[in-house]
Amino acid sequence: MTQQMINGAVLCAVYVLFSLGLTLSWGALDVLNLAHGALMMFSAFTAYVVTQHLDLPLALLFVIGVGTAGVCTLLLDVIVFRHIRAKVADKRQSELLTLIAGVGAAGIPVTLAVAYTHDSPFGIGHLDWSSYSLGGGAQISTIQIVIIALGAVLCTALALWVSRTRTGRALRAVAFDGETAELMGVNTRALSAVTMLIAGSLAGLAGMLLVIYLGALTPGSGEPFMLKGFAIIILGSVGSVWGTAIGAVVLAATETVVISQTSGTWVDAISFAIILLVILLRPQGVVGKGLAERV
Amino acid sequence: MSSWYFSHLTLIQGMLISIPLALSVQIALRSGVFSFASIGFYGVGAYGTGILTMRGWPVLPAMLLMIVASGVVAYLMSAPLIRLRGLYLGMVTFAFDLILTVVATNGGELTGGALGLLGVPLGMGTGGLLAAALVAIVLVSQLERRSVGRALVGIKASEELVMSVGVDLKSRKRTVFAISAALGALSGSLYVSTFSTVSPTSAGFTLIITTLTMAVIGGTSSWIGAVIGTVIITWLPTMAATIGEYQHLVYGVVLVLVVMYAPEGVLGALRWLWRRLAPKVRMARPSGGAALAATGPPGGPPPDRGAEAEAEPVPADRVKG
Repeated sequence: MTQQMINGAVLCAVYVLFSLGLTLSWGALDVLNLAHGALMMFSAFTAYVVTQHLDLPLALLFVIGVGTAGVCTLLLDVIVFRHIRAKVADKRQSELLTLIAGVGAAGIPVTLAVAYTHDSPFGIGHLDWSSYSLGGGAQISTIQIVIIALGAVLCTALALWVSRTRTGRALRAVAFDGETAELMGVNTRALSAVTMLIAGSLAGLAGMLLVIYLGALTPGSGEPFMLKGFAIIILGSVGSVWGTAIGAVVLAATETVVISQTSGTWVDAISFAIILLVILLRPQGVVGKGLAERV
Repeated sequence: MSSWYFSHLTLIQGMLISIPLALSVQIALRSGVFSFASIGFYGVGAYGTGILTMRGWPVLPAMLLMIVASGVVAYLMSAPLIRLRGLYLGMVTFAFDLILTVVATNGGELTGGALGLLGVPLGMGTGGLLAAALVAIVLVSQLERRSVGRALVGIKASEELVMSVGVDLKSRKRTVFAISAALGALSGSLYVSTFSTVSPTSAGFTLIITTLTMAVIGGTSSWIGAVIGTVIITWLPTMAATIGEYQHLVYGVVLVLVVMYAPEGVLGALRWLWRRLAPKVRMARPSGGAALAATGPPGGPPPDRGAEAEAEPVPADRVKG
């Protein structure tokens, strides 16, 4: 039982990190980045390619992996999404084009990874971590502690950033009404760049932690994560940091129970069931009002 | 000619199969419905027809059943979905496609697990494929020309405007959703009864990329765009032999570039060219110019005109129908 709770907490922390990036860009900038999952995978893939040629310490690999996802997301926003936002005045049309561009962009890292690995799993090593006994046969390893701590700390930091700081307030203003925020002196370009960099880095961090924790990822690993990210966001309301945390807890807990009770192959279907249930029963979100309207 | 035909038969068949699928995405995007659901229904059609024919059903009834069932299921599904704001609909239908691959992988003996269905009875000749593609084209092009289609363009331009002139927006969107799903199912059924196999990955993320590229590269404003896009994407790999395993990377880059610089696609470029040439033509043919300026009678058949009529931004009053 204790062991299940630890596994669930690790899962939850990875989900939180991944979904926060997705919800941040959607809530604040109306960018639903469908390449988010592919870039999560790509961070681990880049680190893997580096380990094939160089023997770098783990910390440096993390910098490379997280940096890759962060910079790629930033570039995607600066080169593609911003171009679309500036060119297409109609909001719905620009959202649609952003969505399509995200799908196209996701094809690039996935194809690179498939071609390099011949569509097989890849890992970056670093699998030996010391474990501590918690009694009752339950164990917790150093990497599990690190993942849980990072999830909790970064989620709290992000929540404080959005609610307490000046830039966080600017971000909420942009989410509410970008044009008016700009008139009030908010530098929306810089703010959207920072937001996308943070969003991408969070995906990268999730990817790096996951590849070390699980031992390996595949080029297609990002897709089920998009499904999970959607379920978490829709539970927690778009743009809400604490809502995302609660959504992640619910999903991770449900999945852990299902995995322990069944053979586990249906676990990805839970996300979809959650999405459908929320949409049918409570389209405004379960946790409360986020930054955006849904219906 | 005939040797060329036989050596390219697979590509020709693939192209004819893709046309309904590209149309299914085009018709949704044209109406401002951000839905990827038809790609999921492609999987439903492929698996459904495959499973039925492997159990002794003749091909045509199996196909028809899957198409009708997909349309009906999509119509029922659309009731809660259609209320959703753009991005949410995109997200939910994207999730729907991804979950179907999970279902197919875990379907046990029925779906053949990760390997998929193998040895589905063949039941489609190239003639049959051509007929199916033509039926899809006629259906979609007629839909564009009738009042239904014009109301759909209006939905994309301004939902409030369309509602203000008394169009039942919800039912129109639900109809589009159902037709789009039926076209997807048609394409999937054709695929499985032509190539005799389907696996969970064949209706997954790469199919979303490929189909979107087809619809968007051609231009989503008309069925012609979807057909142009399908032709381009089918023949592109044969012309650039090197792209082989990087096929989807090229599609991805093309998709991003088209969205950024030519959101109207090839069709938009052709229309732009036509607008530059059109004044000369109009002077030579004044009646054609008059027809362009006039508002077509609501609901009546539009005067015979090609792509040039659509080149003008749709005037609000043409939306009535």
